[in-house]
Amino acid sequence: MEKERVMLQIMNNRLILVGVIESKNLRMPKRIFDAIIDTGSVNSYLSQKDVERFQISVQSKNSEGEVDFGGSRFVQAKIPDVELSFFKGESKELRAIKIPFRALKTTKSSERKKIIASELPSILGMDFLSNSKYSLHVVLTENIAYLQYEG
Amino acid sequence: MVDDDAVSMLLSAQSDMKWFGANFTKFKKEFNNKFIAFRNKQVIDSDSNLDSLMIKLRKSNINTADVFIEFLSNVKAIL
Repeated sequence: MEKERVMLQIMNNRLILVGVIESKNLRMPKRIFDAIIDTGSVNSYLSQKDVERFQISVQSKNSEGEVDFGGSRFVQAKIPDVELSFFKGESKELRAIKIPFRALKTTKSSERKKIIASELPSILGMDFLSNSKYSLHVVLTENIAYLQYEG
Repeated sequence: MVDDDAVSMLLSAQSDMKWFGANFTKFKKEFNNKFIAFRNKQVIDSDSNLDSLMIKLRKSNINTADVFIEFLSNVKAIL
């Protein structure tokens, strides 16, 4: 049987997964979402831009220390699991996966550094690939990238 | 169970992101160092400051969660 493939979009040599996210605990209904697949990141992060876009309240009591990302330093805070849905294969069937995102909030106070921090995208890191049992396949010469279900 | 809402949102989101990708080079020239908000294959607004863009969108009664917001720059960022 052919394995399920989730096609990724390649933009500017970055791998983008387009999905819909929602969180009952955050009282966030379904929202359109895009994130970069980043094998250089151990964890998955909701960018400051998306935290603001979805108006998620980042509580300092849930802080898990600081993290350097994209040349900027952020406070990372655990948020309740968010469910990410995307199409599996060519069908219009959805796969929904709970993602233990951390939310990012810049520690910088200067306007210029705050702007730089807000430019960074959301990231699906190695935890996403291992928890969801997907392997990552990229053939840039053919402009093809996909996740393949190995579960 | 088929979630029709999520399916239609996802179809529209994928189509928007493909459109954005197809116009990426043009937009990078036009909106260098700016955030742009887009949906339904249309640029809704842009600003060099994310907070200002959010304020403009909310003033226009646009839910910021219902649009894509991307930053465009000729300077490459390393994650």
